[in-house]
Amino acid sequence: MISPTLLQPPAHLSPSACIQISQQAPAFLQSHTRTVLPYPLSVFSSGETQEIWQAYETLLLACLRTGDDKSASQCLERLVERFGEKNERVQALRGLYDEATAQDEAALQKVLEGYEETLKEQPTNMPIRKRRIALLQSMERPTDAMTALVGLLDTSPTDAEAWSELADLYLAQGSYSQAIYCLEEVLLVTPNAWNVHARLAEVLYLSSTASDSPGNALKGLSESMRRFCRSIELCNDYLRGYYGLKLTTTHLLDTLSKVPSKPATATSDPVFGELAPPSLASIQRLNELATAKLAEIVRRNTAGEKGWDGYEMAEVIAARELLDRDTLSIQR
Amino acid sequence: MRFFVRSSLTALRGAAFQGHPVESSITGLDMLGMNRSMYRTFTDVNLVARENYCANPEVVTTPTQSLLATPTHSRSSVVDRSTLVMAFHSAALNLFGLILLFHAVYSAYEHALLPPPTSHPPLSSSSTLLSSLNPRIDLPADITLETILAVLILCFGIVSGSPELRPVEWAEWAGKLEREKQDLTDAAAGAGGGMGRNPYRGLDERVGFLDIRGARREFAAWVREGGGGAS
Repeated sequence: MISPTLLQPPAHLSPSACIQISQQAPAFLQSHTRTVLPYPLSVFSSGETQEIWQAYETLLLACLRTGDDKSASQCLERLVERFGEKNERVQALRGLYDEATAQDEAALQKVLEGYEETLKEQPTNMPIRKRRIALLQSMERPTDAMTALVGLLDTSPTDAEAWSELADLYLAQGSYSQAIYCLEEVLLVTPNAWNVHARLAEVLYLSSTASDSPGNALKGLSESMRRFCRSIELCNDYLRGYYGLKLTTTHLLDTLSKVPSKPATATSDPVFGELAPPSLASIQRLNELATAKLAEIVRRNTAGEKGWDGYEMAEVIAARELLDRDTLSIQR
Repeated sequence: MRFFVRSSLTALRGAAFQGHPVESSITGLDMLGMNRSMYRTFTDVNLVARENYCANPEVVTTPTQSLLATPTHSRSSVVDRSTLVMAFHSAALNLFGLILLFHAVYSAYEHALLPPPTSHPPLSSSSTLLSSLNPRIDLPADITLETILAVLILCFGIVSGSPELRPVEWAEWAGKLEREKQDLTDAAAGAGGGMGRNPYRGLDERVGFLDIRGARREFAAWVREGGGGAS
């Protein structure tokens, strides 16, 4: 029986979870020794399940992170043995291993050249193309990475993961409008992804706080608020969504009270123009709703209520801080 | 009531009623919550595993897929007490209902073997019909009642033993995913078991673009800060 933690997809584990997983590696490798029967008999041996290979991959990534390169190479060996050198996913994993164990810049450069060599032979090898982009980014060459990523999206424009990555790259460069465009593309592919709605709202919020003209800021803020509302509509009790809703409505209330002159006259063409900014009353009510909901989530989570314990600790703490800030400003 | 007693006596004598017991034992096990994943090992031949792995499960599996996938109710190893009690109740009810049902069926069978009472008035149409085609529906009321009762008990037992329903509404389902700590043992059952994971998490943490060197540095920094000693 494989431990369930090994079957979690491996990205972005906390360091402590990561070390726990990688500590299981030697025992796992020991217990799953290869006993390969000759071909017709191997069909009947049911020792192999899909979960095993997922577990190997998780172990490989965890071991690479914790620096247990020996176990990692063993995992990789088994995957290669099973699926062959030519398997695209295995190729990408091997590249990952080479990247992680590269000692200096020269070695990294060599890995990069290896990727380009592979891509010359099979330009449609998506996992390797993605690895190459990730490596370029890791080597602090963001413009090259962006060019490569745009090229990848030209050939495969429905790859939501790549659009999302490109959005992050643009955001890191501070080009908000491009990042917003990319996230909207992601939403075209996966219109129900509540976390992408929230992400888009966050980027809109950032861009509106960065813009100088109050009109643009107001537009960005109300758009951001609507996106947060959509993410909450798609997902009840979404802490990130309510946090953002509270933040944007508070800002909007500030902005609107400062510029009370012409909120209603901004309405343009009802078909093609932008939406009018929301009315003050509805913003007020949304703000109250967000406050109540956040308070409920924080309360029930800290009380350790069953069914409410899945939130990230950091997120709950941030939400509590936001609420505290609010009460402080009221007291003053 | 006479037939009731009589049939149970014959049953006690061990009269064989071939066919049914075998079938019943299978359905009975199924009803008693036999884990379907136990059968799965037969289908997990190498080729299946290999193909599925090579096909590279996309980063975004649509949630409808994971919702529609065949439910394998995996029993987690740590079941809390109430679930155990519930499972025991439903198993007992099912067993009792099955016994009752078989008893009723067997009683009806025995009853059909009896010679027709002589006082039975011949039907007017019996002259044109073969006597074997003419069904005598004069089942005693106790057998009928027993059958109905057995079916009701079985219905109740099966329903009470079924796994917890998953929310149908999108927002509710998504909210549950966000709110609750995911049961890892459910994740072990694959796409079908439990609630599954947030299918869009792959858009936030992109495994394809994983920056492994950055992750390594981060981990090393964490260890240097003394995080390793704390754990």
